[in-house]
Amino acid sequence: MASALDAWFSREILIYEDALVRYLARTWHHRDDIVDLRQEVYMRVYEAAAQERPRAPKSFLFATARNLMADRMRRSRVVSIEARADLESLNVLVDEMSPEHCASAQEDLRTLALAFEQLPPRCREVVWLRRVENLSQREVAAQLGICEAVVEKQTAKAMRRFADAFFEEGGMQLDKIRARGRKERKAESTLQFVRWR
Amino acid sequence: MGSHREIEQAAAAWLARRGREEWSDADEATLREWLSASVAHRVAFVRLNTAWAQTRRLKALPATGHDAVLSAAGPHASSGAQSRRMPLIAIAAVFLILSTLGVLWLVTAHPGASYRTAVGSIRALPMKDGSTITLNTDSDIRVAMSDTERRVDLDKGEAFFEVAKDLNRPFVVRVGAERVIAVGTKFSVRREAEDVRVIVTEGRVRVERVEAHQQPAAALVSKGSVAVAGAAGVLVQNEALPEVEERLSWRLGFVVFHETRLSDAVTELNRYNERQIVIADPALGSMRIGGRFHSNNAEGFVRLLAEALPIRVEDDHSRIVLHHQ
Repeated sequence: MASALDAWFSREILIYEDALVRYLARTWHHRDDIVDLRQEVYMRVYEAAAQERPRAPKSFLFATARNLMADRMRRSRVVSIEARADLESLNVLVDEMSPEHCASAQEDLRTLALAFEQLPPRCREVVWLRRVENLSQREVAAQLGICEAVVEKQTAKAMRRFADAFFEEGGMQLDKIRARGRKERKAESTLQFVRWR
Repeated sequence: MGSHREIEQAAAAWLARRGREEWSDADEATLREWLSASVAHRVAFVRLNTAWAQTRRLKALPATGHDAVLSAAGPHASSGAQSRRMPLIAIAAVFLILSTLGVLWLVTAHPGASYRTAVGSIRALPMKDGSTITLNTDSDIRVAMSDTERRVDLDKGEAFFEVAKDLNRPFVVRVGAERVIAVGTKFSVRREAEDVRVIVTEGRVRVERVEAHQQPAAALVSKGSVAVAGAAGVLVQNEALPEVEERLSWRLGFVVFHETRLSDAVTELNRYNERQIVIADPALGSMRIGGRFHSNNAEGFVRLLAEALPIRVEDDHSRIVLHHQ
């Protein structure tokens, strides 16, 4: 089922989801559109990669996002000046974004654990029994005393919730490295020494 | 074409349905048809499938080696044979593991008890008097509650104390010759090689040094202070409260650095991980870094460093070695 293209897509593109979403949200002021935009960007990237894999997937992803937003702005009749100005500055921002978690959020067990923990309790139970205990859908249904259709429904729900939580950043960030020897950040801290006697 | 949300719902439904035992070739063909009907279907499916595939790795969680946490689960820790029959217990066990990843784990502490944490875990201990002690990574304490005193011996590591007010029973934390005494306040105490570091975020504590045949000498340390007590005296630094709180980010599973020497940052991070980071080239150690990092994620930390600094990472099983590029 999974093609080489799918594997490429999940390895090279999906790992930037958190950075992509933040990038979109920073520029696009309608929060409700973000998920749509994200999926549109994915579609464009996927279609382009089906023809030829971009050599620099990360830059290509962000360039696609930028173009999509530019297209949308051109088409819409009312454009916020603020959004336009942001868009102008996007070229610079892309490089600085350094999607922190990117390299392999997927390898990070902690991300996994936190995503799991964010599931509603019933979903969590189902995921645990299905994926860790390796029970079949039917066995899970028997164990929890619910019908199989409900297990399947819970599983589908868990999949969506889990994907959102999993791709969201774990909160790590590296500050921009500053030159050595810069003066201390805070001047107002005071220092005193008290001898024991 | 429906909205992306509807498509995602459909993709999830397909993915879940594929888990049925009676999934047939005909079903597979219908799914393929659905997938090729639109790129929107395909990307939604691939996205969910990528995340879902990761849930298999939840199995790996208990293997991360926080044995103290597992053993401390005591009578509730289920044997492997039982866990299959008792999913809820299995799930409870997972929560204990999760607790090592930054979520606080609550147990009721008993007087005269000792508590410890494994490398990388954090543990919150509610006391009967209403106080709470939060143990940081790799720490050891003994607690003794009497009618006249609430006493904690910090034998190793670091702990944060939220002390319930009780004028008749001072709360005393002993670290070697030093004693930190509070009535009702919030502070942390960390045992270092030579010194004791005390950070106060609320109220005031008295830091004393007890030596044989002498009256104890004392210094008062108040909210917003970082005090380092050694043989000669106490060095007290006053800071804005947010900065002081930030030094206690470990309670949330983070470490925060500001223009910190890489060598110091690595030392700090190594407290939380069995797998140690080693700086091979001394010149690297003096570089300064800042940022906010998961204390349990040495690999992620190194990855970020390698993106920003001229560092080559040599990754063997037991440790992560940083070379100058």
